[in-house]
Parts: sequence; C-alpha cells; structure tokens
Amino acid sequence: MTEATPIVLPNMAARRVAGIARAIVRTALFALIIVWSAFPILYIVVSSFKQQKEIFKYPPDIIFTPTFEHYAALATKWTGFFPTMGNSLIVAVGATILACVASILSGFVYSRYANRFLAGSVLYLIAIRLLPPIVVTLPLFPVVDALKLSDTHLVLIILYATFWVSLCTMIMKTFIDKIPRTLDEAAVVDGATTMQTLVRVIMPLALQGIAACAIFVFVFAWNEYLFALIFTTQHAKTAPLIISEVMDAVSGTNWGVLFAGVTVQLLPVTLLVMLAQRFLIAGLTAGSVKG
Amino acid sequence: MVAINIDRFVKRYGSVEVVHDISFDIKEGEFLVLVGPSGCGKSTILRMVAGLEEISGGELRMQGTRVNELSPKERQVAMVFQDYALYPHMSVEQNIGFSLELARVPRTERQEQVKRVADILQIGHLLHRRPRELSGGQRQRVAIGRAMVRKPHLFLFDEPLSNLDAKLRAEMRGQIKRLHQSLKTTSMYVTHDQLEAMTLADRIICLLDGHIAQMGTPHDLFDRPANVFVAEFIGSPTMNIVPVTAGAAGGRPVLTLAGGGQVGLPAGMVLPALTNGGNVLAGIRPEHLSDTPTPGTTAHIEGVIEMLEPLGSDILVTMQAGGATLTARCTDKGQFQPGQPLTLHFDPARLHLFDSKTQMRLT
Repeated sequence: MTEATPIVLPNMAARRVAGIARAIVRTALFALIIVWSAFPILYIVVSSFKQQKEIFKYPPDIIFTPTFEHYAALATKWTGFFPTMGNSLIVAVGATILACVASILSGFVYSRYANRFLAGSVLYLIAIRLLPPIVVTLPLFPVVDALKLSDTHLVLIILYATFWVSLCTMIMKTFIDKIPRTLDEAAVVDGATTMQTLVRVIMPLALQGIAACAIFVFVFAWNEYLFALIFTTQHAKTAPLIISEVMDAVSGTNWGVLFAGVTVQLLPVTLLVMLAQRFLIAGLTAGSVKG
Repeated sequence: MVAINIDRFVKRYGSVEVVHDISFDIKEGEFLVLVGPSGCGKSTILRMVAGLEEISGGELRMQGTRVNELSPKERQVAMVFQDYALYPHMSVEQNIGFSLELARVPRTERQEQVKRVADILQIGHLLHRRPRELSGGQRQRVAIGRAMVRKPHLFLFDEPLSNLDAKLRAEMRGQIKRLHQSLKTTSMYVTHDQLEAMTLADRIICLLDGHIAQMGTPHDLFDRPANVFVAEFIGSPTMNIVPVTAGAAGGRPVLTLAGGGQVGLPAGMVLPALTNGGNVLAGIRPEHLSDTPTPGTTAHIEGVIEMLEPLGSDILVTMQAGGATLTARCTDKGQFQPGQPLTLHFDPARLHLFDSKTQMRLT
C-alpha cells in the first residue's frame, strides 16, 4: 500500500485575517451598490417634501421642515394626474391578467407537447422579443386606427400583454417543466380533462412563476411611456404622460411637483416589488438550476 | 372469466419498435405481474393498458369490448405510480377524493368514501396532512387509496415499491397482497424485482426486449424456466449456468466442464436429445447445491472454495470447479474456509439443461 500524504496544518491566524478582510471588502461593495441604486430614488422622494428653493441648494440640507405643498399642487393644478393613475391601474391590471392567462396556456403547451411547429415557434417568439418597441409601434398606428382602438384602455392592454407574452411564456414553461409529468398522468387517470389538469394541478404548483410574470408585466405596464404617448390622447392617458407634461410645462419645470408625481407613481410598484421579491427572484433564476 | 385481453400489442416510437406483438389475457380477480430488466417494455405495456400511451398496433379489450380509443377514466382503470404522483398542494383527503370530486360526487358521500378507504389503509389520522409531511410508506398508502376509492375494474401498479427501503418494501408488499386478497380486483403489476413478482403474483409474465420470455405461475418460472434468461432472472442468488459437454462414460451420463472436470450423473438418467455435439448449458440453483449428501442428492461436483458471503443462518459459498464458478447456499456452521476443497451434492432432477445456441430449455 502507498503511504498517505500527511496532513499539514495551515496558519489559522492568517486564515482568520484573510476571512475578515474578505468580509470587509464584500460589505463595502454591497454598500456601494445600494447607494448607487437607492440614491436617485431617495433624492426624488426627499426632494418632493422640500420647498422649491431648497431642492437644488448646495450643500443640501439634511434636516429640513417637510412640506406637502407639491402634493397639493399636483392634485389642484395638475388635475389630470390622479384620474390618469386610475387609467394606469386599469391598463396594468388588464395587461397583467391577459399576459398571464396567455403565458400559462402557452407555457403549458410548450412544456408538455413537442413537435416541429412548436420548436420553430419558440425561436419566433424569442426573435420578436428582441425587436426594439419603436420598430413595431409606427406600423401599428394605422392598424390601431382602423380597429378604432385609438385612445382606449384596450389597445394598451393588448400591446403590453403582447410585448410580455413571449418572455412570460418562457418563464411559465420553465416552471411547468419542473412539475413532474406523472402528476398530469395521475390527474388524467383520475378523470381530469386537460383544462382541469392545468387549472387544478399545474397552476397551483406554478404559482411562483405566475406571480413573477404578473409582477414583470404590472411594473412594465405601470411605467410604460412610449406606447401610451403614441396610442392615447385623452381618455386612456396614463400617469407617466402627465409626469412628462409637468416636466415640459410652458411655465418651466416645477421640480417639486414633478418629484411629488414621481413619488406617487413609484409607490405602488415599489410596494408590490417589496412584497413579492421572493417570486421575482424565482422568476429571474427560473431554469438556472435543474430541479 | 377473462377480464382483459391484450391482443398482439405493438408499440412504436417513430421507427423504433419497443413492444413486439405481445398477447396475453388477465382473468377476473387475477394478480398478474410483468417482470423484466429495465427497457424490456413492461412499463410501456402497463401505460398502454392505462391509456397513457397510444397503442400502435393490436387491440385492448376489457370484458370483451375494444377500448383502444377510450380515456383512462372511461376504461375504469386506476393506477399507482412509481413516484406516488401525489398532488403536493392537496391534503391527503383531497388527494384521495380528487377523482370523486371530478366526477361531481356530493361532498358528504365523497368524505364517507375517502374515510372508508383511509380506514382500510390505516391512514385515517393523516387526512389533513400534505404529502410532504408523510413518510414514504404513508405516501405509498395514500397513492393506493387514491386508486382504491374509484372502485376500478383494473388496478395498475407501476413499480410502486421501488422508492422504499428494504424493510418498508417488504411491509408494503404484504399490505398489497392482503388488499388484493380482500378486494379481489383484477390487478396488473410491473416490477423489476423478481422477489416482488414471486411473492405477489398469481401469474408472472417475464419480458425481455419487448418479447415475452415466459408466462406462468411463480412455480413454473422458478422450477421450469423456459430459457437461460428466465433461469437467471428469477431466483436470488441467481442460478448457476455452466457450459458443459454432455456425453457418457462407463454406461453413465456424464457432464464435462470446460476445464476438464466431470460431473457424474446416476446411471439410468436420460439426457434430452442433444445437438451441437452435446454442448449444452447446465443450470442448478444455489439452494439445490448442498455440502452434505442427503438421500436424493445422487450427483456431486468437486472444487475449491473461492469466496464466502455469510447471510446470517445461511452462507453463500462460491467454488471453482473444473473451470466453472458455482455458488451454493449452505447452512453456516463455520465449517468453510477459502482455499478448502469442497464437494457439493445435488439431486440430478434439479438440473436444468439449455441449448447452448438457442438458450432454450431442452427438457
């Protein structure tokens, strides 16, 4: 028998110092990333509570008396803002429901069935997603006009949902792939139809994926500007358009009101993302590890 | 009465045929086991019967009616899956009652039926738990309960015990056997474990490469294997199969081993008609070889002990004899040592002879 290599004890003190150094570097990097991402948001939120003249003061006041005057101005001078938030909500919820329903159905098909047509259509689905939105926006204009969908909630719902169906389909496919097929078979033997199998067995188990898709679509639809600018004028106008109007006002930009508008606009999505970040991360990493 | 006819079953995936022209019947109340190594087509046949795989060729009849085109539900079959396939988001009660719920059975009636099944399977206290809160054996019982609650015409079991540890497997095997004895539902059971097949089956079908290698009672397959494959597959430890040349010396039949060693058989023993110049495969089960002669053991073979595998009360003795390796199952009294010479005795009636070319039984 060959002799085993003897165990050499490492320098434990040096190892401990290296460990502490690594922890410090790691913490510093995290802090940098957090400041980098949170600073603009924090700046906007804090500024929305400052007097107009304090906003750009240098050096800025850390301690100041908060004012709600910009919020009052937003409600009184920009009367369109809060009603358009209602539009934003209708459009975002509508697009979320439509995109989720379509993605669950198509994700199920892509996960459970295979043929040449489906394989080809996946490529098409991904290719479509790679097009910049502006490329499809302009040709769509006459189509939307002909269908008399201009300035309706429906046009934005359809556009936003369409824009996200491809990615959400892939997310749903990845989640459904992880559900063992024997569960589908057990349901079929139990007497379930394909739709019952999907609704009663697959969907409850793919809930994380559905939630991830819903958040992606909702946040996108809530914040979207380009489609809303082109396809709505009055009736279905969404909140981001008003924020842009505040910025481009003839009387000059009222930064306080602008920041107040942005803060109000940010609030629902920030809350939603914070509440559901667990699902978001699951959606982002779907398929990265074999289940 | 015949419950199920499987008539010339063929299964193709594209141009690859995996089940070749297989026919058999299952009688009412019979427990039929399909056994074979992985890839032999046993699960495919079960899934074809269940309605989970399309039947590429042939006909499936249940009580005389062709059911090829019917869904599993319409065929009135219930299935227990290898990985249990319990719905993770449902409680035990919901899992068992799911098929009744889909069939729109009223809630109170559903609860009664679920309770009846749960009581039989002794899982009544687990009804509100989720599958992840159950042990392997409990999950398996829920899976069986889910199949039972539907009162099916046919129970299908797809390797239901292969995920359990040895002790639990033995326990569940007993439970399935008891259940079948009390319910008497026609059952088709797939396994790769010959012990499961032997203990559970009324009749066994042993499959190899999509063909039936042998069909019969457990005794038929054990005592009169139709070919070398079945001889080696059924029984543990596996049957000793040794190439020999059959001939005669001094008026007695003699088997000559490859290394020149000879096995004398009793005068008067008639060997089957031999081809290939008498080259045959001789088989004997380890439990039919003994280190001490008894009245029936009129033949013997000599060799040297190579290896010992104690099993507790018994011991597996591997012996080199004239170029052949033989394993015997003997009673362990500490009498064996590797390197020691050993004579193993056997009853010539226990000898199986197979054609060396076709591998088929000669007697």
